[in-house]
Amino acid sequence: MGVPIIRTLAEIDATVRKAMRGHGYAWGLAEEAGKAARWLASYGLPAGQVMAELASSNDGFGSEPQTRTCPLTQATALADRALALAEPITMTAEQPLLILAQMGRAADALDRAFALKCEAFQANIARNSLTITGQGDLLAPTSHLICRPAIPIPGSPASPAACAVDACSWETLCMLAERILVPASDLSRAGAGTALSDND
Amino acid sequence: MMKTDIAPTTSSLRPPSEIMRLARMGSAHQTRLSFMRGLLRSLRREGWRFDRPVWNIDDTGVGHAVYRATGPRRSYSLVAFAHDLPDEMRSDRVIATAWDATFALFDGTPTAEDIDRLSRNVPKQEAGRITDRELSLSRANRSVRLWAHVVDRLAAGEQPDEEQIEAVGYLMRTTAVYGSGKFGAADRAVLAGRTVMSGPFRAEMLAVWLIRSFSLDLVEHMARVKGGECATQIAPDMRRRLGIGNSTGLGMAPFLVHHPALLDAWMTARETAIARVRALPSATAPERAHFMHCVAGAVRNAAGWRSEHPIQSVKLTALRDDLARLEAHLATDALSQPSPWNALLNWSETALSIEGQEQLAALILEPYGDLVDDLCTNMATDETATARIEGTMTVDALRALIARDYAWATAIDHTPADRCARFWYVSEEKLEPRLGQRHEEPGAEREEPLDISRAVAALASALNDVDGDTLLADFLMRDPQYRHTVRRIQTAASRPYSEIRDNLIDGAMLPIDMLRCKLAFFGATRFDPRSDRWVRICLYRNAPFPHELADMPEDSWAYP
Repeated sequence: MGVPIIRTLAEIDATVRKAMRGHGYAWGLAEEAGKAARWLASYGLPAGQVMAELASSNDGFGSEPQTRTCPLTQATALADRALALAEPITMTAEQPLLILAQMGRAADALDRAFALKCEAFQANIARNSLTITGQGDLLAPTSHLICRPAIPIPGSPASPAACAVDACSWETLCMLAERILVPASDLSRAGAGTALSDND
Repeated sequence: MMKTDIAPTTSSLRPPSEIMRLARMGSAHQTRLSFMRGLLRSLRREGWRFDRPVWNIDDTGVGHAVYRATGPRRSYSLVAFAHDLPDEMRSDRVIATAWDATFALFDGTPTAEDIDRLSRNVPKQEAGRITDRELSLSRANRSVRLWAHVVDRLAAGEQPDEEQIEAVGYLMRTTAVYGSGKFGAADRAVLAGRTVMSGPFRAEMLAVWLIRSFSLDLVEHMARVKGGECATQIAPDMRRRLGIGNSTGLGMAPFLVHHPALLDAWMTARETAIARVRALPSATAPERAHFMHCVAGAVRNAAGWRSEHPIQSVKLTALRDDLARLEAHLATDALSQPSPWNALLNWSETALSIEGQEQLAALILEPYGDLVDDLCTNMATDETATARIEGTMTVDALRALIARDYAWATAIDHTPADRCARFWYVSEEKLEPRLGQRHEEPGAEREEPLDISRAVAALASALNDVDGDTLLADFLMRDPQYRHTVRRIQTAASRPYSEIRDNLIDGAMLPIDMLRCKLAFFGATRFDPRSDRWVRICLYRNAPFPHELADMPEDSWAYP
């Protein structure tokens, strides 16, 4: 783990989105990752480390990650079905914080509450509210994560303030984000600006 | 008539098939709902006060100044840094590394330590770092010819030449105004709940308005240095005719595509305003007089609006002809008939060019502030809800949405080279959006998802092989490459103006159309394209300065 650096929620969202596209995810999943990172960061959770960990497998631009098993796809597919979630479901999860983030975003959008429980933590998420307790390693995988609809418990609101991001993770994400950039060419430079002088 | 009596139905709004086309978006004009006009109305109604607590500029024009706006609960300060920029370094492009002046909008009143911190970062712009005490970061270059002329004239105790003021319209033009969390600035969410800042781009609009004051103060300062006792100030009327310029390139264009719910909110507000006025059964004499005054202002504006760009030149000629035709039509007592505004807009559909039609649609709002200005509060939107995909929707339901909302996209054959000639990407050089030639340049594999019509057509084709009862959650788990497109389609389902209904990778697509649409919502005038992807504009031309805001009639400056 590196020293923390300060980044805004907008920077975290944008950088993670680009990084995950650079890592090889489809744009739509990369967008999910960016928003999930923003959600985690707004509650002071380790967004940078979660996303750097996500990018540590299936590395390589253009090689689609194994979508059926990857933690981002798992969390996103669960959140896609959040409206229909009536009974508790139990699952294994490589990255339980990704599940928390995606269900948290679903809670915001649907104005519903959900509860998550695993070895490391238990959480209640509702619109603009999180209650999380537990002593375990938030980043540890779990073989027994339960997700269920819940009654909302008043918790901490999301903070819009800039927040600390682990520096090593941030560096990893920035390097991945660079993969979507296109080097300048004479043709691109010629087309980008004005054809006329600015000294007028 | 009260606005509760004017409740246009969705069907009475102009249809998206008509107004979400690039040709029409690229003919947009500022309106009463434009962000800068909404900001000045809010500042005036809340009784904001303005001062300049710091002016530390030396005889070479180098130093810093602070402009402060103080409201009932908060204050904001523009911290301005003036630099000595050699002519050969002056460039409006994002690849520039130095400017005539650089700025940050500070949340509150900055201390000496804050100014010291900003002085080490703001002049570097993207290479520096600001904090969430700052709401925006920006820079500006002088209009070289007008700057020198105004300094010389004022130094000699004379007023500047009116024609030169009219020809350029500003002393400085901003070349980037960053906000919303960029380079460390406060995230938009920080501004939530602050009345004056609650609309789109309000912090940026406030910064630009104060930059205009700085540009005038600095030119008068330089004239005093040069002319000493002989120097004079610009007469208030002429001073007000100077706005603040802006030079904008491709970087702004993808915004409208990346924020479909916001685009829908802007368009819905404007179209609802137009529909409310069209629904009026008659116009009073004062309302007609107000409108006629604004038409005359529009005629003067079109006469003074200059552009050497071949496309805009043609449009300007058409606009001038349109306005002459409009004046002739109005002379036939066209406003005396029942539902005069609706009749007038119906007439314009065949009588005027698109440029003229959009100018007229903006003009009919002018007499009706009480009826339409409240719509400004609907122009910001919470994008949280649209970021989520509803995975319990079936493939059949998605097919129905595509058929209803995207027939324009699936009708396009993207196979010919010219139909997919472009690709949008982010440049390694400046991290800015650019547009490449797909068949001539490398990099298309790193394309940004702005190929909306092609992507929807591909999705529609892929859905042909999928059972209609399949849930989207299952389909997207298997085929995540369509996820971005499905999100857009679900967003558009209840937001009819969220999508530009043209092929954004077509060889004939003009990025300046996207720029103009966004800039018109800001309140820009005098669009002057410098290429097909680069445009200069003027902001706040004829607007009151901060010290005049309380004493001038509200929002009376757009068509002087």
